Amino acid sequence: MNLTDLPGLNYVPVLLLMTSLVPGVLIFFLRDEQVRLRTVLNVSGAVAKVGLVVVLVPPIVAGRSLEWRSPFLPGIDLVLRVEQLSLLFLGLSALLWLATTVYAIGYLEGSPGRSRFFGFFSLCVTATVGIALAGNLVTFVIFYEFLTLATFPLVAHRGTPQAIAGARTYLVYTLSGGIVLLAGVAWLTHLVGPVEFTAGGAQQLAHLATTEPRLAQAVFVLLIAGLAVKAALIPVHGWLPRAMVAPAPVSALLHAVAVVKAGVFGIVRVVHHTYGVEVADTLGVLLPLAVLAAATIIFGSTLALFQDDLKRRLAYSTVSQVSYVTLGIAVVGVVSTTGGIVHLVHQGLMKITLFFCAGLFAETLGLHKVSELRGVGRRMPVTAAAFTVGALGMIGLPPVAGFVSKWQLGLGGIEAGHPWIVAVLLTSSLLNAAYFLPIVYRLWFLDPGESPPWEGVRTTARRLEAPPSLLLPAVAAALFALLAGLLAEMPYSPLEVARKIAERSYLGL
Amino acid sequence: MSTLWAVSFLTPVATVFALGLVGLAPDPATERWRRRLVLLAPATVLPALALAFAGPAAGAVQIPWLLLGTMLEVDPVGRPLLLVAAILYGVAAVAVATVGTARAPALMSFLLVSFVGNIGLLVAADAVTFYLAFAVMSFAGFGLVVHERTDFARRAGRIYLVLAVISETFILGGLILVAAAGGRVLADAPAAVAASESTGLIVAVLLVGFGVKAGTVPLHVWLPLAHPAAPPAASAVLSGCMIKAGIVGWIRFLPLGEEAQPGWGLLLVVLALLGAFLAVPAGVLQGDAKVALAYSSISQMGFLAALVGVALAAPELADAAIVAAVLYAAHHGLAKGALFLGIPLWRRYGSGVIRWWIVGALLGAALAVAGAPFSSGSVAKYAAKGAVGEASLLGVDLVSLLPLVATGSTILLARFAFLLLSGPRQQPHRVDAPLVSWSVLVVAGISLTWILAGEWFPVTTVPDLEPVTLWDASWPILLGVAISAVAWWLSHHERLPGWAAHPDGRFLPPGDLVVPEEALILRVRWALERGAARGFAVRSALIDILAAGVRRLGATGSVLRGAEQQLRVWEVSGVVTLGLLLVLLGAGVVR
Amino acid sequence: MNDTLGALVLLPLGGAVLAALLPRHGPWVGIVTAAATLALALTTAAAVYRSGPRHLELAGWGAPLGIDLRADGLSAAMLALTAVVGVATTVYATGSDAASGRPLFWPLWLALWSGLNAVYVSGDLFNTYVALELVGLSAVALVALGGRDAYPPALRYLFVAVLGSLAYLLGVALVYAEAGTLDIVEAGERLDGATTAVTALTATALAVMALGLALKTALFPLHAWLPQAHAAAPSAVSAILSALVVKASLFVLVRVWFVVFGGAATPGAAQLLGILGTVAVVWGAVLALRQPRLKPIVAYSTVAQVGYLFLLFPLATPGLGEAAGTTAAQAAYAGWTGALGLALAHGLAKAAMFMAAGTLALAHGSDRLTDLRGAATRMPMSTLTFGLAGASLAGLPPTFGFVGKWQLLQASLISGQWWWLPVLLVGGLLTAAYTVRVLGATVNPPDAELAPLAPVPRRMEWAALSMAALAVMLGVSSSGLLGLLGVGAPVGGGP
Repeated sequence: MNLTDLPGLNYVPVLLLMTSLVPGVLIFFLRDEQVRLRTVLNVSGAVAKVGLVVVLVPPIVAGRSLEWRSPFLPGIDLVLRVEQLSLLFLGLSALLWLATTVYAIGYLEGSPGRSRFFGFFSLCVTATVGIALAGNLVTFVIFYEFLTLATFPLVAHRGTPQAIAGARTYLVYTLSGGIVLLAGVAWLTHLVGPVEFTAGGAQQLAHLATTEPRLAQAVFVLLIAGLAVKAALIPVHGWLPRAMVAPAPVSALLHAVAVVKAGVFGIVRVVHHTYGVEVADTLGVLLPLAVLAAATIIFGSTLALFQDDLKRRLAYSTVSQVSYVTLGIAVVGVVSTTGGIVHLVHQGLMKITLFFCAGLFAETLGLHKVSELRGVGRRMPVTAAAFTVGALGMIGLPPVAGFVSKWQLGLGGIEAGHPWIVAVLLTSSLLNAAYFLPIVYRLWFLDPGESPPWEGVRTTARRLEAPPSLLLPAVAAALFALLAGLLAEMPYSPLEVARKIAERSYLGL
Repeated sequence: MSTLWAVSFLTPVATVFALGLVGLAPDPATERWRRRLVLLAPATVLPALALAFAGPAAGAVQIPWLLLGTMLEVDPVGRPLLLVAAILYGVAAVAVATVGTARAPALMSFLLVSFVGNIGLLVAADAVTFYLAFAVMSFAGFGLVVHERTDFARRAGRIYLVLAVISETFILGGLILVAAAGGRVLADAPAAVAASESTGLIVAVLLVGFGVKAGTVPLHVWLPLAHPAAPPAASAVLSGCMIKAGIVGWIRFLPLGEEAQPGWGLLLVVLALLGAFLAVPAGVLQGDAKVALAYSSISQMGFLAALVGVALAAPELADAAIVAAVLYAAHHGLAKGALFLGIPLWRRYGSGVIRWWIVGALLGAALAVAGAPFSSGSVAKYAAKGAVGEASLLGVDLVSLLPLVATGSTILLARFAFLLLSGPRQQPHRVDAPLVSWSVLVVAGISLTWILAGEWFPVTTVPDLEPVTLWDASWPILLGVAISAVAWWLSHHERLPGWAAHPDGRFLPPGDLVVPEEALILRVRWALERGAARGFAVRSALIDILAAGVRRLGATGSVLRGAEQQLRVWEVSGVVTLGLLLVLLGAGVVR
Repeated sequence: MNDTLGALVLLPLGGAVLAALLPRHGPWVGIVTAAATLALALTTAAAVYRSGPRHLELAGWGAPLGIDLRADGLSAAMLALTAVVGVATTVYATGSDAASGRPLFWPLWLALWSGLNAVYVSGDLFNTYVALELVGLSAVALVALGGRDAYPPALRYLFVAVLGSLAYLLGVALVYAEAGTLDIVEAGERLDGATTAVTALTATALAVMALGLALKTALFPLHAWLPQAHAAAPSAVSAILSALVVKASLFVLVRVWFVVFGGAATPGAAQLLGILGTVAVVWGAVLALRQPRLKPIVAYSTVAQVGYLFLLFPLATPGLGEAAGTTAAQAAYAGWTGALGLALAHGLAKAAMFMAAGTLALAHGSDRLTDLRGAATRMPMSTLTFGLAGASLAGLPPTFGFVGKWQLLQASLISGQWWWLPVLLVGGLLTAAYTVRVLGATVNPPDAELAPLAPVPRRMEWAALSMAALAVMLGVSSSGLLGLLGVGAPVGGGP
């Protein structure tokens, strides 16, 4: 199945890592004032990665794969593999990294510690790419922990006591999760040897599940428990709202691509490419997972209702939305799996839009609270429009991408004989509407009043409502969220790729 | 023909985008552009009008890459309503564009978006496209309702939005169930629903979801609030087109003609008739002409819903009932639209010569709504009568109940006329575009459209358009007129209690049930908040316990530190070393 | 080729003499010696990796009379670690007098290095004793370079070193009495033949040797001297002591335990060492969390990390000998590569950590955590070094520390000794906790006034960073190193 046209092609996965690792490491050694060089490094790395991914799309979607491996632990290789699922995540992270880099360059203009920030920022993306490419559990764990380490300085970046406290909470949660995951992986490796990710599940696990079902269940629980921390499933979601102290681009990346996604991506890998969904189903571990995800969906949405801080509201919304992915993959059936996997991308696009906009409101007008957003639509119409697209998508209204996910998930739930999932989705939709529509209403339909909160705030932008480096990524992300839904059935759309992944994982090809 | 399809949807969308873009930089030059765009905007409904005339000739369109695969088609159900929508939105847009409306570009944008949604849901041939169009229309409708930005409009908007979101949610759930049952394509939907294991659930969910839009009791509460709050042009499309979407939704997805659902059918008929009749006293007690019209709409929608209910309960009547419902919806849309749009015209021309034309036209429209002989209403009512011929409700023949709806309508319209005539008027005015287009609506609409609609329809199940017995159509109206006259006499001579003699909407506030419903929602929200507060309290208590644990661990730390101090003492370390030696010796010797 | 073993001892020794004779040229002598020793050590390691254990009979006499030099995979790895860390600390020490102590640093350090190499290549028990004494005494003298405040800890260190050596010597005498030879391999073979009736003498020998070496390795509860001594020494010396010197006595204990007493070691004793190690992991970490100053934190971290290394004994002991089953042998091999890999990782990371702590303390004029504010922005390299080293110590992937920890996890699982799993897993969290505590202290609050920094030569920061980077990067290419550790290992089960 490998591309054999060119001998060097199997180094492409390494190259994909290097496009962010090399700029990241170089940036560490730049002084803060070397803006131009840093920007060139950042942007060229990001563009190169996007370019590589774009080139890879047609052959990989057609079913080929690229693999690079090197011995790591005794008997265990470090495996980097580009196949469909990794491509999906890779595409998301490459695209959003580019957007976020541009955004961050504008956001952090003139603030101290930029080289450190961008260094870790690139490392963070490197880790995410590694997670996407990881071809076996051990490689996955490596990048998973690497991600924890790379994001910690980003969360703490501001250096305020709250930032340090938030970062510490983050670290306590994620490291503990990492340890549980590591225990699970070590145990599994001991039981069945090194496990390679295989569509439809690894053979060894099918064997283990028949011979030692109890052990297989226990390991599954450990693995999922470890991943659940980053995936922000209740009751281990607590770090997410507290990590909100991070600068906006970091929050955007954390919520849309990197940390939270790494968790759910891991769950996809464990359920579909390690155990195999059928094996997991016979073990009886999927239904509890689905119920947990459903509970998280409702819980996150409910708590979001009570947040006045915009970013915290978005954070609780993430808790809820990300569990859609878990819900989708914990339900047996191609449609549901497609919905779960495609939401990986869709949630990323929508959430990053929302965070970009939240950052724009905070940076341009100094607004952090929902209650302060009265009439901002008049002052910042483009930002408010982008926010509206994201919010409507989150509610699940067509033609934004969120609808496509919700539709698939609902159909999948019924197909699998779990109609209660539709009820969960709809309740969540109602709650989403209940906490997003008031914001949209405030933005557009309320008057800012005599003295709006942003009175006297000076802005650097002359013609546009905000600096273009902040505005363009937000608009682009909103556009992508819209197009992902509007053109859901186009070739190479996330939905199509997700469907292929799901089909393969059931055929066990 | 696909060009026509594309143009029908893209021109209004492009106009809205252009309005938005031009609005980004409001300075005098762009202001002029905006005004021009607003003036041009009404023309964007014309392609849709052409589409309606083309009908099946426009062909079915499949756009597999759009959304989840989009299918469009003008079918017999959608075609008359498409025509109505194009006309009504066009007239409303002319009114918005030419009368000095406040923030006309915004209103025009919402109107056009809502138009796109409205025609979209009429021509959608698959569930997803239908849902998309329905959602677009619903949420654009919010912009129409709150346009005036008064406190009253905001409250109306809030209630509209809450109900719209609930409706969307139920519809989405219902459509997911329908699609899962194999009804993705609308043509297959009723059969698929009938064959599904969970028909009852689907029917229930859809009844709620579309019931909100169709103004079915008890989900009708937004109507009497939204209509007076919105600008008249918006009220016209709201009442004339949007609320019909609910009926269309039912026709598209309920298993009409496939499987008898007597229980649900009966429930719908009962609720529908409750609405049809209770709206009359509720509407009469209002002091605002537009609220009275809104209650008239609720009453009429009750009539329509009753038809759907009959179709649901008795599959053999379904075809006829659907035909009747569509005809009735088309007719009512135009007539009610004409009435709403007539209100500002009356106020503007109310003291000039032109007022006679307006009064006459309004009277015509009102008679049509009531179903007077020779009006579109009579045809529609006749069709309905034919459709429900054998159906009965708790032993009472529906046929004998339906004419009474006309009586109710007459009373409501009489109240409307009274309120309008006693309302304020302005100085005479020149003939202008809104008047012309309104006149076109009244004439072309009321007299011509129903004929077209009838011709486009598969008329096999409808009796030919022969003149109906005069008396059959007349007595309910005459009865209504008589009751109104008596009521007027009684109140004029102060023979009635004050709240009934000079109602001003205080005895029964507009939106009737909304008051207790709002209170209920507030209570739920309060309970939720209290629950959340309790949850937070529990959580902080847990955190306190955890923190205490951590502190205790910290105390362990100081114990360790003390022990470490001890270990540094020479003697202690000596003893420890010797002790360890002994242990090692023991461990090494004992096997 | 075999001559490199002798040269590895003699070269630093010659350097030491030269440095003593030319006190003003100490740095140059140090650098040249270090570079040459590094080259030798790497050549040796490569040779061992390629063609198995080396053996050299010095002066051609052979055992039992002559000086036998041996180098198996473990020796080679330790030689290489010593050389790599040695070069880095040498470069580091040239940066500042305050970091090295005085001109006396150079001869002492090179002598210490010579002693370390001697420990690793020595083939008999008595020569090992001599080498250990050389290491111990020069280490004590190096601690004393820390100035007047360092004298009491140095004195205590002296007592400990001498007591440990004496205990070891007593054990050597007992072994000689039992086996009649001092050659490590031969003694092992002879004692092994006598396993059927392990005498009380053998047991006593093992006990006193274990005690003495555990004392020198600072195993809990015999660790009290270490934090004081390591914290009081100049920072280059701290790095050497924590990264290298502690490993020398551990190396000897491993040799004695697995080669000399291979058949005599009881599971009970092995478990005891493991339990003491476990307590050390928690004890050291908790105390590290409560230290107000940077160097004691790092020193207590060493106490904790040494604890991990002692998990080798319970995990590998059951797999010794021919009689052990395949599973036990597999577990033993995993434990062996894991624990000793962890020792290498600790050497690199701890050197980096102490050096970073040293530069931070030098620049800020104090190593109190409260005085380190703003270091994250003003000395990013040192902060990064500290963080990377902490990550490796915590065993976070992809560092080399992770590889070691993974092997230990596998060993625990394979051997069924699941009770070590929580130690391995939670210990990492505790390590991360005190690392983060330090990193948190270096962050600059937005509007704080900061005192100016004392200048620190860049090469000091680079030396530290290079060690930390190595500790991280070796993780990705660890298979060769793990393979090296397995060459000539006394436990079976290797691939």
